[in-house]
Amino acid sequence: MEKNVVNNKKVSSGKGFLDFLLMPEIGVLVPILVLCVITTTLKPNFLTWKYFSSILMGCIFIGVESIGQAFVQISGEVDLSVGYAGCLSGIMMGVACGFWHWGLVPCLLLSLVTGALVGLINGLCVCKLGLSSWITTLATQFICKGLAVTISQGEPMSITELGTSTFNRARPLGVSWAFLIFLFLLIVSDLVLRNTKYGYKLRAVGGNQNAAVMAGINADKIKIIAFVLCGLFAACGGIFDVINKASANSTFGDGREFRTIICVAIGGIAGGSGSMLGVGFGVLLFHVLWYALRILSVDTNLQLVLIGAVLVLSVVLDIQRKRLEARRIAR
Amino acid sequence: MAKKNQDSTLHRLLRTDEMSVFIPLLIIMAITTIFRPDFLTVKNFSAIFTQIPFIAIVALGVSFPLMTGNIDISTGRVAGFAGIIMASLCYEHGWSIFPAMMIGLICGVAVGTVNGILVVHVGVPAFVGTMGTLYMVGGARYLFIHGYQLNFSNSWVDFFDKRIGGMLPYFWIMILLYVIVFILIKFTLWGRRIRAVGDNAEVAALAGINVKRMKMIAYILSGFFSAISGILFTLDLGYGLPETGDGWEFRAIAGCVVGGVSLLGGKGSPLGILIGVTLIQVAESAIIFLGAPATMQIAIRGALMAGAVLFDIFRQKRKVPA
Repeated sequence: MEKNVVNNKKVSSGKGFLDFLLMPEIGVLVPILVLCVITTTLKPNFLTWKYFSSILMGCIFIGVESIGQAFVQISGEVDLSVGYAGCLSGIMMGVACGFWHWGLVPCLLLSLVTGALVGLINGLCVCKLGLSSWITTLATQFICKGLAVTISQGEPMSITELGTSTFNRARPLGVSWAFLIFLFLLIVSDLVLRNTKYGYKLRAVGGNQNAAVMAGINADKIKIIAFVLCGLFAACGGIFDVINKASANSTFGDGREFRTIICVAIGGIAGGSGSMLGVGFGVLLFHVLWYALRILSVDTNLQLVLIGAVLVLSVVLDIQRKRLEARRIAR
Repeated sequence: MAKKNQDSTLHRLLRTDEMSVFIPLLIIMAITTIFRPDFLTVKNFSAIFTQIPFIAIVALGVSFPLMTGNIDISTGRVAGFAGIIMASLCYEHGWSIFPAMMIGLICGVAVGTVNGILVVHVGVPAFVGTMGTLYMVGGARYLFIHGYQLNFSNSWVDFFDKRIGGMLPYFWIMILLYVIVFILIKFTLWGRRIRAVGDNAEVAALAGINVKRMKMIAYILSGFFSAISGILFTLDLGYGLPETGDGWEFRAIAGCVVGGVSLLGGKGSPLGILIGVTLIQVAESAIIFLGAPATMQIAIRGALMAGAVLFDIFRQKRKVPA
């Protein structure tokens, strides 16, 4: 009996290549490579380090908010407030610097606390009051947007007092510090999701909440933590924006909730499953596509059409992949 | 005896879903009027009512997917798309207005069909699927603009500027559509079926209802109504504006939610939606009258929406044991 099982395993790993292709992360990597090859043949300077590093450094803003979105979506909910929660956090940073003349660390802390607070409100409304997650987060999105515009009066607020320009201009390893921070956060989140008890419970709650609750998992607590994490990552996105532009503006983060959902969907996240590595590749695919369309001087509005098409295509492919996988497991 | 009977009818009336939206509307109007007596004037309200029809028609459309337990966020851009198509056909290709309108409506139906196929038949999550069409249609709106305005002077534009009974024709078209849908939803077998699908798809399927087809029709209707709204808006402007419909999708959904459409499906009445859309518009107007900064309008919309859903949950909980 034992031998049979071992044999079975060997047989299935014998078809390794298909297994390899069926890994969600690889499924995203293929279109990235195809895109790169096509664009490079048309425009040879696409695959230079100069251009590619600008893609990498450009993807931190949506990227870091996608990590937060992924946490929430793995728990089976959705967060539409990420863009404006980040925007509001950035505005608070601008206020703390411009009006109250705080130092760098208190400014950053205030910003993170703002984000976490928005996340906490989302989490409490969803878990304790029983509101559906996307109505709650749509409401907080509206509220954050209103507050951000009202506080800033629509004017950009300079943060040059904080002296972040050296941080901004530094290029360790050919990329910016912010990108390295993003990479670090991505890897830590991946490890948290894979190896910690919290990640295990999060996936259990997202996969089947009733079963998770019966197994003794405090689903509400897990989800609220996911929302707070999402708020924190949104605040990180806001901080990156503010530091990058050296000013806080209420137009930052507009429409980012959709883009994070696109990245997360491309990365193969669904309730209960998915990995942060996939999200990273999803973010990369989105930005490679975006920058490739830009260097090929495709019309801006046609770009939107193509991004929509890629989104639909990737999700449909992901669904087909899961069906194939399920059939293989059933066999 | 007669009095008791009357009481119970009043109670029943007060406990209908529409009333629970109507009473807050009255309260907001009363409070604002106390502080600013010039709020409750014909001029102010006719201004409010000229803004309502477009969002209200989109809200009516999106209520169908919501009632079947799905969601459609492409509605606003579909409205803009249909309007631009019509303007482009009229201006650049010299079509007369009726065939151009038809093509606009067909485009709306086509996008609705694509949404339906993606969500219902392929199994893409409703939010992501309709977001894909949102991007595609939203970008396509601009492709018809070649750097100049798509003006079309037409006798129809003049017709739509005339007031009938103190209201612009859009208002009456909206009322007509709402009456039709109200009758469809409340008094026909089809309306009962569509609510049954949203309430419990499995039971509905067991009862012999073709669930997939109902959900599909809901998406097509959503696209259709959005196209109507976009075409009317374009007629109102007199030229094709590609930004038409930006952000309408969430305003419409907010109107539906405030108006008592349950997001879990199976519940919703056109009258409630109309009152919900009006409530949001009146509240946003009241905010300005009460002296709050206009930038807080959007925050108020969010708070209203969350409050409405909370109120609904509270009421449902109270209703269940009774």
